Amino acid sequence: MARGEARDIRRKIRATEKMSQITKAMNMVSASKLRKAEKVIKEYRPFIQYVQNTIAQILNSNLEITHKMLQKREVKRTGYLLITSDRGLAGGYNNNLIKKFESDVKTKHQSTDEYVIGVLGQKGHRYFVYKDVNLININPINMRDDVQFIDIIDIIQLLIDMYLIGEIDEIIIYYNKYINTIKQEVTAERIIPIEKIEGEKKSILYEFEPSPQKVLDTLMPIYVQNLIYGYILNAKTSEHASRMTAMKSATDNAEEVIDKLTLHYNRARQAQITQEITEIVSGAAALK
Amino acid sequence: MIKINVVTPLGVLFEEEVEMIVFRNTEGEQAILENHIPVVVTLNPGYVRLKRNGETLYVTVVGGFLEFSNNIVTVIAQEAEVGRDHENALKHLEDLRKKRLEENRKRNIDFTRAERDIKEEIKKIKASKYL
Repeated sequence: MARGEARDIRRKIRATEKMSQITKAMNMVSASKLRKAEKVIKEYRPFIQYVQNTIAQILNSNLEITHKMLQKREVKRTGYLLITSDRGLAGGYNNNLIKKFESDVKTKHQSTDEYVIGVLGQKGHRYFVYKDVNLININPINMRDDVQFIDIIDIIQLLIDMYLIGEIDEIIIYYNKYINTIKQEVTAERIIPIEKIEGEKKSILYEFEPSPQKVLDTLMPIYVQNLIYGYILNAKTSEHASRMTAMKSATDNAEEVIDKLTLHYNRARQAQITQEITEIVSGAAALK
Repeated sequence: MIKINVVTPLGVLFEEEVEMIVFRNTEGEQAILENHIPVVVTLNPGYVRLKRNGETLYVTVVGGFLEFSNNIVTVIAQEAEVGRDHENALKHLEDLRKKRLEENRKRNIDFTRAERDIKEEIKKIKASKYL
């Protein structure tokens, strides 16, 4: 019996070792993806800054001009945009987000008619698709690691259009805010209506073609689309960081398990040897 | 000389010094030479034509605008492509978009299929316990 036990434990040790190799590899992959995601954000920042400055410029130069997205109105219906991931094994990345969202909704709304949800990422979609909520995307929207504008433009445009025609009166985004590698926080932020657009003051007087209002009408959706894209990039960075930490602790845990199992294994092996000796000795004694 | 920068969310796409630029949007065509007054133009969709050493280049833009001040042109665009002609560029951008969406759709299908398979396997494993 002891022999069988030792073999079982050894098999378990080997399996755990393999598992820890996988988690270690995933940790390293996530680390490199995290660096890449940080680079993407860095390249994106001047872009949004530029759009923001130009809009601020238009608004500062002419006081009469305004846009629906800048005007607050009474909120009857809310549009939510949740950013989740495609794949799991990222710690509490998706769970925390959904939990926070659901508790917020419970306190804020009485019925499901008061809000609509757009979900990015397969994990979130799979969670909400069978729930009794107003989901605006029937098909899941991919949140690939190399997320591109094309992937997400449709749903963002849909939300913006819904706001512009008055179906919803505000858009709130839920995402995991990247604070640092080990800390990410589920954050809710209102995107539309925009309260204030900050931009550096320039003393240049621009001419707007075809007209300031038309330029603003074109720029506002572009600005909002890119703002959301920025949040998505941030969430993506969080996802990689979260997965990295999760895989790191999984590797650590596996090592702990291996240590414990090795102890058991040695004990079992010793027991087996003792048993064998006892058998031989008693066998020899019986022959006497 | 006018300096032109084309910026997309993926970073700076194009940086060059040119003699003259012509832009075209839904309103029509207009040229900008050196020392033009500061101007902001929407390009959705539209293109910018550049003249550089007698060579003509097109920057095709979807969802963006152009800003000119102090002899610096900045084209801000969600999607942009630099090329020798304009018609093909627009088509190319459209193709890229279609390809990407198709790819995403396929991924979704693959994913769903894989998920269904794994569910079936799990069921089989569970069933083997009752043997």
